[in-house]
Amino acid sequence: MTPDPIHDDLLAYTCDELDADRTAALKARLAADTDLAAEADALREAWARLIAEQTSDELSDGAVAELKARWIADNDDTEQWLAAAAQTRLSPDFTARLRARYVASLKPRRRWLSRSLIGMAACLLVGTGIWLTLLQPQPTHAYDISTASNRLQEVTSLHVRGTYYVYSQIDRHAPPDAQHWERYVARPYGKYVPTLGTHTGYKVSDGKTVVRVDHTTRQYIRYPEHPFAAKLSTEYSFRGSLVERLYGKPAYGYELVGTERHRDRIIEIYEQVHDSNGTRRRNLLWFDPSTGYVTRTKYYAKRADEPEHLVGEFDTVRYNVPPPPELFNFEPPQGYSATVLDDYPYDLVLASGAATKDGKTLKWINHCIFNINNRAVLLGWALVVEENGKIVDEPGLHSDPDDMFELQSYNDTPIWPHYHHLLRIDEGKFFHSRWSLIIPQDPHVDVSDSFPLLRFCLQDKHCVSGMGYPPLTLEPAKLREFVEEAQRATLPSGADEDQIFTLEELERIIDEYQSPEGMTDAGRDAVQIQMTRVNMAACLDPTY
Amino acid sequence: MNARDIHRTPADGGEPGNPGNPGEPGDLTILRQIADGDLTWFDVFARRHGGRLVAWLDSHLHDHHTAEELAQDVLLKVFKAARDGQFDDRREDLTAWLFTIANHRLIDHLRKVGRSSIARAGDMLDALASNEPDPAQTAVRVEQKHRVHAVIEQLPVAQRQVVRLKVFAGLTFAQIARLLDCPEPTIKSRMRYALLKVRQMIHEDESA
Repeated sequence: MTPDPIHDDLLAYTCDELDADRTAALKARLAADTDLAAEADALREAWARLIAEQTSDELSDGAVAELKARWIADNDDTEQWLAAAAQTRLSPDFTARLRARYVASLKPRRRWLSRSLIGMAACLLVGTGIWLTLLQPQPTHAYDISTASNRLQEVTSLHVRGTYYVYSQIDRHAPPDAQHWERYVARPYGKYVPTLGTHTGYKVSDGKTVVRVDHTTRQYIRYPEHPFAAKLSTEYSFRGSLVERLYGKPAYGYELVGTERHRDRIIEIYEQVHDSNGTRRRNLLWFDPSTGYVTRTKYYAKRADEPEHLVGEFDTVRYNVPPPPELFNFEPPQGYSATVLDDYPYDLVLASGAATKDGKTLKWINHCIFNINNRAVLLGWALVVEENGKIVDEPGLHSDPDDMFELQSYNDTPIWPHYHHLLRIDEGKFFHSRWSLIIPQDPHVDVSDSFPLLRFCLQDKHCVSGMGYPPLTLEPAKLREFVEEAQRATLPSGADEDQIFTLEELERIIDEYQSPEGMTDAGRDAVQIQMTRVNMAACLDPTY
Repeated sequence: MNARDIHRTPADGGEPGNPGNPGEPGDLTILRQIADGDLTWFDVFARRHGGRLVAWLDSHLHDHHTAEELAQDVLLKVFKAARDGQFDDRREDLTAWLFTIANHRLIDHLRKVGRSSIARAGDMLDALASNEPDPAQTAVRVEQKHRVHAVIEQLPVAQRQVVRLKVFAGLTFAQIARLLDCPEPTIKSRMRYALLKVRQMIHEDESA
């Protein structure tokens, strides 16, 4: 694809990869060809600018030592590890702990000591139990921890404040960087979201307007938000991993490990422990059985050969409280550059992805994604091409979406063969919104937990992937409300509301596809999923 | 390009006869030794490749600590593969293999960050914030145009890949071609287009 082999040499020369003979030949040619010489200058100039950005990154002494430790630990050769550790720059503390572990593995355990300790602990526990039973107020078991997260569907607001701890990856014994974290979210909508901790910036929304402030660049920007988008993202806040972090995952089970008295109430302390990817995670949840609310959470992690460390804690968890006024500041901070957008095309966006090629940006927009009774996924979406910030095209608007739509695995999420039923296309002010029902061919697929990445590709291999965003699972009444309201949000003004698909109508479509007849009619609607190797695409297009 | 070519590149060191450090064994020799439990040259191998991995990962992440941790993961995987006989040095280029693993590790990390930052910070919307069409980002981009890193970010993805592998990982065009499974002339063309574009963008930026 190179226009002239001389350009190959020119590039190799630029990047110091050309051998001496060819360098001499090239220099002779450059002396005689002013155009080529000009290009050589241009390439050298750009190369010099890039090379100036080269960092002197190298694996530090600590990282090399740690790598060696990991390798030896992987080979389970502790003795060799100790020898290596003695020669390296591992901290004496780390080495000492490993030595202790090694020595402990060689000696028989002092069981009498263990038994004594267990006996003392048991006495203490029994004594404490008697004291609690006889002298303290008893917890009122109106609510059970395993179903307590359902209580969040009844609250109007949630205010969480806490700290999470960022540990050095190099020196694991260095004190962690404690980052303040805070969130307030209220139904029907309105939320405050810090960008990371609270020191780098924040996003605040009242359901009509969004303000983003970036402290690092001193930027302030305000733009309109569709009320339904605000409502939807608020609902996610009450059901997402924040809830899991606060209330734990019922599947891991809860073990009562203690109680604490708070004024006239007994707060139960539950523990959850689970292992994943070589890390043991332990959560402690302070639960008030009389209200059904978790009031405090601490969570820890432990990797092999390392002490357990505190990952984060939420020490303030309040329910049904008014918004703290200091969090909801919509005004630009003093000295920040402000941008205010009155007309914003992407005011109804849950998630999006973008890929630029040849100056054109292919943008995928996800308005919403719902789990339809664990049988299918309802997706509101749009696909646009932007050039210089303007929407110039909407690919595939009049063609079968199967031609450019596929599911793609991430993090080992299984890909399931599916049917793609395009329900409707709504014309909007800036672009069209499309409504799709993604129906697994296998009716037993759990769509709530395994929805893969979405990926759209044009014929010229210009592709964009959306983030793996789980379909929102709602209670039946709320699902009906949200599904209809979401479709109404994109319906052109004056359009007949009959165009909105009810939950029952969606179920009927699913029935039709998943019936044995539908399953065998693969040629009509089935989508054959295939993995895409992104990096290998478009090898023949050097401008790609 | 065969596996032995990797020893002849200046950045690599080399088999006995390494011009930079005479007497140091080559990559494959050290790798075999490490796989066999001999750690004599472990540090040499780790530094030789770790630095390039860190630089390349850092160019994506702009986070040196994370880059170092991921580089460790990559090297550990290489050692395990060598131990378990999963690397055939007669058929595979060590550098290309190393960066293939690094690429997978980086993708895994970026995906996990999207989700672990949620887990850590508590809500999906944090991750979404970075994925939304964000007018603030556009404004920020304008502010950062003068920075070469920002210029690299504006290159088409395939050109950006080549630039990073060339500039930050220090790979030869032949190694990049092998890594990306593309013909070498295509790689060179991408680099050429990228350089011309970088120069143009820098000039536009400086004259603005």
